[in-house]
Amino acid sequence: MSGSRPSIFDSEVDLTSFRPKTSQSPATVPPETVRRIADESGFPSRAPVPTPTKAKRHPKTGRTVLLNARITQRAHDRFHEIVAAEHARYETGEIMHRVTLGEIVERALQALEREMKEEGR
Amino acid sequence: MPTISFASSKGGAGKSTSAVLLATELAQRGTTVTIIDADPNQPVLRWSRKPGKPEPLTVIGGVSEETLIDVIDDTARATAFVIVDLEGTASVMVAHAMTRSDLVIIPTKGSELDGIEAVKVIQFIGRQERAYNRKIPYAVLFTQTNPAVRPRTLKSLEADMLKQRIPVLGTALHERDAYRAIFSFGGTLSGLKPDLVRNIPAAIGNAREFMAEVVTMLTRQTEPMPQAEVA
Repeated sequence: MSGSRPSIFDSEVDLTSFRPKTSQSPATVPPETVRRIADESGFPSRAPVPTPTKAKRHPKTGRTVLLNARITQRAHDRFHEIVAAEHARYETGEIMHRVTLGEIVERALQALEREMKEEGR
Repeated sequence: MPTISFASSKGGAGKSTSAVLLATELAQRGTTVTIIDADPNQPVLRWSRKPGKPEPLTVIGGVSEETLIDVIDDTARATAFVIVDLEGTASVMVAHAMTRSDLVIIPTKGSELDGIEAVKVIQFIGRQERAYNRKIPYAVLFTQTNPAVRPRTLKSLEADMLKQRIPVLGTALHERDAYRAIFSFGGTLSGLKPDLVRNIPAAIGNAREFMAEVVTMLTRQTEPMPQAEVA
């Protein structure tokens, strides 16, 4: 750190030649080139990336009320066999969603209503 | 007219301090200056909100990677000097600022670790120069040096840089309480109260030397001559 150090007594610094730019900016390097070179040189973008809002895993079904009933072992087993069969259809891609116990109850109810309608009740 | 960027891939190298010292020394001579505070921590913007900022000096904060170039171009048409204080990290912001700079100053402390970070920025400048086929004038500024003693590590770093023909500013910014004080009290070195801060005249002299050397470099628009001797 020696050599052409300016003297501190040489305080008359001439700034008159420095003025705001009047001309248009010179042709610029395309920003994508700047980004590429910077990225390759280990000077990446540090701007925060907005995290996409997570898609809800479960669509709202409105099934919020609990049904608690005593049934026979046989009816219980049969009910779960049907659920398992539906799950197998989902696994093989035959149906597009995984059914819930509530949905099976609702479908059973719809079947009963159809039956009652047919019987004219 | 000139745009001067302060770049370092490491925090605490003295970018904001040297940017504010250069800007205030220029503005006190009546010329118009804008500091673009591109550091997300906005240290210069915080300084500017304290009393004592010279009238011809404007500070702009809140720039992003997308807006930096436009902000530099707009301010270059409004004020004589544009000074960009970048974040102390290797980011694309540094690259954007460099494409618009008439001079890049790389402040570094005189330690091996800091020197390595300075070299990283210098290599990045070289890569950009080759890619854009355009010269990006730059110089290393040693900061937080001891005015009385020059440690061997610093001497060895300087010798290394000279060997590589890396331009080093002849003026080093010494470790001065006054440089910290302007960030505490706001304003300029000459506005500090001597009963609160030690050795203000020495700090002013050092800051003036730095400003004068930068102005000389800009006037010549050439790289400074590598120093002839390393004591």
